[in-house]
Amino acid sequence: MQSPSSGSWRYTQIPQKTIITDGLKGLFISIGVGLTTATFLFATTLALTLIAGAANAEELNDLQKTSSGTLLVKNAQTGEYTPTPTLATEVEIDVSGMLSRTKVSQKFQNNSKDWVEGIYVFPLPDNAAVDRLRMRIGSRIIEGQIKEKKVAKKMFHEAKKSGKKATLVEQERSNIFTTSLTNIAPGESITVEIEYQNTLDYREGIVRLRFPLVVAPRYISDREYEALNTPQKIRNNTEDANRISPPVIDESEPKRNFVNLSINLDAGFTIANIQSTNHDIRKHKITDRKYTIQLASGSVPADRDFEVTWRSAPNAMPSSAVYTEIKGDKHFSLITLFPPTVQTEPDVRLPRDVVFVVDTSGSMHGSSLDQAKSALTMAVRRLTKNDRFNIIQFDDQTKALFDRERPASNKNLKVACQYIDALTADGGTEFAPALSMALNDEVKTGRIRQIVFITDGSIGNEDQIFSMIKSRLGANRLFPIGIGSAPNSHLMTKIAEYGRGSFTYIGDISEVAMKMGELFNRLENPIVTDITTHWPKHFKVDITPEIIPDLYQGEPLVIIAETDKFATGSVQISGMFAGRKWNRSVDLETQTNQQGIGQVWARRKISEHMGSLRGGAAEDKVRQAIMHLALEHSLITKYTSLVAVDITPSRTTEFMYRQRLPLNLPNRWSQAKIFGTLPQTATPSAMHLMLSALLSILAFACFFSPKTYWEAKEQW
Amino acid sequence: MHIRNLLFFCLMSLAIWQLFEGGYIHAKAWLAQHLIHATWQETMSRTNVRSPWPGADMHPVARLTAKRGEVNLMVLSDTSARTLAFGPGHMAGTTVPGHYGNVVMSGHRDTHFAFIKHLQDGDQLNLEAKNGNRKTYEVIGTRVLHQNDIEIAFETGDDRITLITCYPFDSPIPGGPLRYAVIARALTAQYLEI
Repeated sequence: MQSPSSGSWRYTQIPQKTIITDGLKGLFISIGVGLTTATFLFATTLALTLIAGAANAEELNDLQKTSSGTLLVKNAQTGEYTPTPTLATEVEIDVSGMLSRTKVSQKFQNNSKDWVEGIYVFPLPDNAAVDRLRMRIGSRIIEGQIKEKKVAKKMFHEAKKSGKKATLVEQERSNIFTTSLTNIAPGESITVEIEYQNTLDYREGIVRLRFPLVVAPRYISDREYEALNTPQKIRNNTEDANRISPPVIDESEPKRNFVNLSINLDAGFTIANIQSTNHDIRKHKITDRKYTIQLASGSVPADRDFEVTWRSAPNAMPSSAVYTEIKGDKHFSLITLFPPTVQTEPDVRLPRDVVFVVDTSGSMHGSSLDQAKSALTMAVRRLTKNDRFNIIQFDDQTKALFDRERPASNKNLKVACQYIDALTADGGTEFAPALSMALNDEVKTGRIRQIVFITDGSIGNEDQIFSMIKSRLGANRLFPIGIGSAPNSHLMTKIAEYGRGSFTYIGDISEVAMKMGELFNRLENPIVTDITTHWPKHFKVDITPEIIPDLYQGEPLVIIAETDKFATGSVQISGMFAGRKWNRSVDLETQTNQQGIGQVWARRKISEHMGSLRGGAAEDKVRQAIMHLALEHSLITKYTSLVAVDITPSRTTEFMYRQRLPLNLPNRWSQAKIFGTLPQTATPSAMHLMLSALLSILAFACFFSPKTYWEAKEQW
Repeated sequence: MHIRNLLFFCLMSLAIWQLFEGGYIHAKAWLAQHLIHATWQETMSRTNVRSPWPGADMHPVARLTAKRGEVNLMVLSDTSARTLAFGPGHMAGTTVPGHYGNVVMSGHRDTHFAFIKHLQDGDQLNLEAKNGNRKTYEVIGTRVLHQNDIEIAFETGDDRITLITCYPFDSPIPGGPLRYAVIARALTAQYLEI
């Protein structure tokens, strides 16, 4: 059956039976050999990897030693490492009634042997009217000028090229600014002074002063990223994400960018209680109305916002206040009026539909989520049998507890409390889909629909969110609650404004009960609506806000007016309160001239213009209106910047380095939760190929092995 | 059949199977790059962006070249394992290619990013971004890191790219905790005139 000529190597004749047994034996042997080889291979490679790993561990240790003071710049010429410039900030705040004037001094110190240029991103309060810039070089002071943004930039670049020192302060968002400082000599320090005017927040008898110290890293969503990279560029998205995402200091390193802060407080009424939310403070009493306030520890790292509050002694608060400023031929009046409060009976409350939206993204991890949970639980427990509710959670996905609002029955509340308890924080922050889901229902008549959402607000696509609220608000009311050490309060305030609700900030877990209590008061009590003002006939008046928002319990009405004549006579204010018409007359005449009201008025006007831009107004017109206001009142806006240029050049031929100053990660944020780990980047390809090579070698080895070897085996 | 022949046959089959498994990874890596290259010009000109092949769910964001054109890679939009099989990926959350900052990219050490172990200080890399921005970078250093050393992806204040791959290069077993990073600084942004 087997011909000797059929194959040069098939000459041994084997009976049929043995072929089968031998075949099986061969198979077993080959499997055995294969397995042994694989095991051997695996063991060898593992050993090799371990050896390599051990070698690397040493290298790694060396590296860690050298990188303990990271953020060094390598000098291309000398190969030396040089430290980045450091920054110390000094803040002085003068408070007069509801107005405050703040001076921020940023001292840049160049510790390196090179000339450098520094860029520093910093936050200011949302309504800050920045109107002054000074650059201090030793004893010399160079006063800044207000210019159109383009012009200012050009002046700065020209100064930079010709070796002159220059400072440029620009607005990136309405609450985020950048200072650029160029031609800082080796070892030199330069101080940049910025001044701004703003009004303080008053609610429930408490005046609140906030000085933001942190620009939180913002989450830029995939969709925004797409938008950045697709042909149909969406204007509304975060095109400048890069500029507002500054470098972050590694969490293992000591915090930097120290801030010293002091306040001269003249409350205008007898002060009952001064408190700070996030920092320890030292108070010094001058009179009943006047105090000085300082940080107890001298200076603090810029990793959490500063907030101080004070309340009036019982009955010390006037029911209305008027401040005026005369500026050239213009007159500005700031009117604060406290509407009536009625102790309404608890059983006449309107039935409400409440949707709670909670942020469960990675940045909420830790104490922020605990605060959110406790605030949510408290809110859910306040619901009555007539109310209906739902809970929506979002990270990069949106999930809801119920398919629609359900009655606040005991059973549903129990389910809700379990749901809240099980919330965990991870992933990105895609806010728009959650908001869309919350807004998505038609409002039943006779019911109030309130959307309460809790977030730390590190969301980037602000404009997209604003336009969604504007177009779909209907009878919904939005109540954002900011949580953690750095909520984006610009975003929150604007959402509250467009959403006709209010913004609550909870800085610490101990504040949850108090702040939520205030919010419930607002949610559950009647409000003052349809507010209008009537001015004396012969006046030409330009007031802000143009449309006066609803007033919730305990909120004052603050209006600022520009008039062509000295304000005399009185203004009539009317509205609806608890179903009745309500009227008040405020006397405009005052003796004191209060500086800065013009700036605050202009700042509000500019903000309104920016708002109309989102509503679809022509950019050209808005731009012109803003430019006019900004140049007249010397304000930094989206279209104008302050620039200060030295007269004499100081740098001649040396090179200069560009540095973006890194910021602290907000207090209690964790890097790994926000940024994850480095990606996996190895394939098993090499393993397969090595196995393949080894198997081939074995195959050929056995093929070319002497015949006798195998024959001997067969004898066994 | 002789036992020897049978053994030979079995071992060869196993060898061929492993060769295919290993080769498939390289073939996929090579072919995908080829197809993506073909759509890059369209992506750049921002007219109808065609997906590189039917059903492809990633898109190129930049083109990385080195060694005078010997290395010519399309960088894709993310760093998931699926995407990395087709090309190096841009690490989401880091600076978008074409902008000032730290652009972090990672790729497989045995396919696309095999070349980075040969990079030395002073070697030049070019990055052409989707927005048309082209920059030349010069290697200023290399590092071995642990996968948790995420700081490498943070902004450092300068204009740089960071290439990351797995380490050690020749370990046949994937999934180790070490990474190798090459840091290159933009030449144009090194000094003030930008």
